[in-house]
Amino acid sequence: MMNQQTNEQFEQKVKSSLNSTVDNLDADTRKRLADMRRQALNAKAHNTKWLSVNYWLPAGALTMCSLFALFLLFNPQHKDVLPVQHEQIAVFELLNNADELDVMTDLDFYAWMDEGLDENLDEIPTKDIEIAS
Amino acid sequence: MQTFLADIEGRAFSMAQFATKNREDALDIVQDTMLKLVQNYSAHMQTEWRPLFYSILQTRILDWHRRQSVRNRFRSMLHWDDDDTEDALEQYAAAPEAAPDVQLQGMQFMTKLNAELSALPIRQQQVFLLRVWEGMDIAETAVIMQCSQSSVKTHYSRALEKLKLHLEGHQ
Repeated sequence: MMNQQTNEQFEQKVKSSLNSTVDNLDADTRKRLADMRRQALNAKAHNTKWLSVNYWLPAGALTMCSLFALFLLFNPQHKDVLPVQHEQIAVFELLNNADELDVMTDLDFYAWMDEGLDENLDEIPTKDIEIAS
Repeated sequence: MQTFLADIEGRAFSMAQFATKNREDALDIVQDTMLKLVQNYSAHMQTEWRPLFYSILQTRILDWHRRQSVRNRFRSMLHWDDDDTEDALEQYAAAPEAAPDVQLQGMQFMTKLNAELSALPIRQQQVFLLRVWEGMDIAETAVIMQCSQSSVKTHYSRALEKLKLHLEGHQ
């Protein structure tokens, strides 16, 4: 018990003596420590600048635009689907069919085809209008 | 962070100076410690800063000692003599605003304490300063020192006994 009390007194004296050494640090050392502190905090601010949203926003936007452009240019599905009109498809199918070429010379056939197209084109589902690659 | 560093930097410098006995090396160690803490751990909770700071500081001090021991081995092999180390005690000015006899007594104790602290083995010195000066408990000290709690107890009691023995006449 006595020993513990002596130890505590000794520790207290050591602590106050150590605090005195810090209180009595020379001006130059204090200044240098303050400079170091400022440098450390500024370095942090400088290092985190590149992590901020404002820093990456233009670069991110540019990258996204480039990727979107590349996607539009090189997407194979997009390449195969052409904005073909219904009439053009009907004509293309007729021209593609060799068996019906003789029908195309008949004027009555054209009259019939006009009527048929007017009536039925709206009923053709859009998803079927794809050209086989 | 600014307030935390301002509060701790003086004690950190003194600890580094006890360990290195060299003002410039001590300042370098404190600077490295500050930089590492700010860059890597400023996002951590404020309560974690102190143990993290001392953990970095103790690691830096141990690294410095390892480098010095390698350097000293080369020096002794090549028979170099280099007196560039500063006297740690020269850095401390006289305590102001105290009666001359009290001031003298305090100064004598401080001078002797600083010398004895510097003479302690590095692990004992670190444990003693963390426990007595920073008021850290055994568990906290063990985490910072990366050793077991029983090692902390052993280092501490040895350091205390040595200091008490050598400072007996100055108490």
